[in-house]
Amino acid sequence: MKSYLHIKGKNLWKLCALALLGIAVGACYIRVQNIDQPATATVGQTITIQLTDTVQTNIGSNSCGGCVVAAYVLGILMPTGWNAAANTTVTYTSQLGNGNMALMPASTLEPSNSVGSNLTWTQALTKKYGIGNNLVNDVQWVVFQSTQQYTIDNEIHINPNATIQIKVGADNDNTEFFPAYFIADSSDGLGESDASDPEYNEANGGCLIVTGGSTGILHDYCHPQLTTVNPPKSLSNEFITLTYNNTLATTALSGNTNLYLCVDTAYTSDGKVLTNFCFQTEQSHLVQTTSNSGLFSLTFWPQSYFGLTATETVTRFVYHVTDQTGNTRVGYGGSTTQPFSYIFGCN
Amino acid sequence: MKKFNKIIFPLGILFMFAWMSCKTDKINGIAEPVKDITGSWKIVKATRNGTDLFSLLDTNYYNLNKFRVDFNEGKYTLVNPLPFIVSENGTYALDNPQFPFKITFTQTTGSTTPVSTAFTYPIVNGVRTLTLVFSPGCPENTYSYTLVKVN
Repeated sequence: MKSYLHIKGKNLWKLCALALLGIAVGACYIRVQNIDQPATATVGQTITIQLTDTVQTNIGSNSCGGCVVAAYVLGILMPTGWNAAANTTVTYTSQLGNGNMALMPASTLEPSNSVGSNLTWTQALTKKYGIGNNLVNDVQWVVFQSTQQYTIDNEIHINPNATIQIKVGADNDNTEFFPAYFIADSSDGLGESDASDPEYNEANGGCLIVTGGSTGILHDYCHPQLTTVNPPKSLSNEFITLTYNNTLATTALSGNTNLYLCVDTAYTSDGKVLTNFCFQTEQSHLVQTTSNSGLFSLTFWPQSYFGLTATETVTRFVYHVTDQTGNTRVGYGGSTTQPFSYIFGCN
Repeated sequence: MKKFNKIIFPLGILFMFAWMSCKTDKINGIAEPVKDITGSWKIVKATRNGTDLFSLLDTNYYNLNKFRVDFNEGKYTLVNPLPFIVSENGTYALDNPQFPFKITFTQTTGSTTPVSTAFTYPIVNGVRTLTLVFSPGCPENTYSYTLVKVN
């Protein structure tokens, strides 16, 4: 007699739980076992990242002949400027079959709703994992799924391998960031039976350093910086918040709470070089964000700060942070001579 | 024939009266008023990527309270400019005067390419507000200004 028994993936954990009560069994889980990722790369290079994963279901002898029909899902956390959706190919091998992965349709919703209802996969991963280990919110989750679906039996133990090939540095910038990886099946999504052993997994790679960019811009999201600018990407016609971290390292300004932005030089798109913006007034005063935070910030509108007309724009500026006298200066890496640099741009 | 006289005829009369008693009233719909935004508007709430800008800015240099956009007879004027949809004065238009979904600004100097943004015009606590969402710089950075008319 033909069996119509059909168990949804999300029921796997229930069966696991039942089995745990009576029958000695193992667990159901999906896990990233190993990440093989280069530590360095050059802008324009296509790098290969290998993930070794484990998918295990073990829910006793109840063989339903096909409990879950689902696609493999892979998420990668990459810099927004890399356009990873267009510059990545993913293939996989597994005991269930080999194949390619395609971009998850932007309208496809994460099925479990465990982190919020009606969220796309990208939204759900962003909500759950944020920006991974990165220090700056300029990375994004890009999600793929296998073009083929597979029937996952009640008792399997397989080791799918994913091969991710990504052309790095589409923005032509030097970048240091922490990639992250997520795997799941398209049926269960972020649904979990056991929080310590869920049917999905996220893992963080080490800092990936990409050099060779021609723009002169460095996005370092791995290492804390003395100064940061928020939003990390902006143009001169919007408010930017520049924050100086006076606790990160011992510098000539350590312990000083009266700090100022000193712009040595600003450069406009039409070739003008602006000077005389190193002054210590309320306009350039970096104010401590909260008491004793050690973080001092100034939000300003460069267009107005540099006295530009509506048709002029600033492309970059170099600066120091100074004390009230202007005599004690701190620049890049704590240097008293080498300035910090900020380059405006959206990519 | 007797049956007709006794039952059907009175019933017919009854239905006729019933039908005649029903009169279709012509519904006088109240026309949706034209959304008139003429006047001077000031910012009461401003966010950048969801973060409140009022608490971030030193009011001595960037006083959001002093910003004005004046709408008058199809023209707008910016007073004490801030990052906005447009940087220079020009003309504006609503896509539909009664049910506007979009407002379009066109500078008369500089870039004269029209710039449109969603137009939301709710009444909040009895006060008509105008919320404009836009990106003055990078498209990833979203600003939202909520304006009220200056009395």
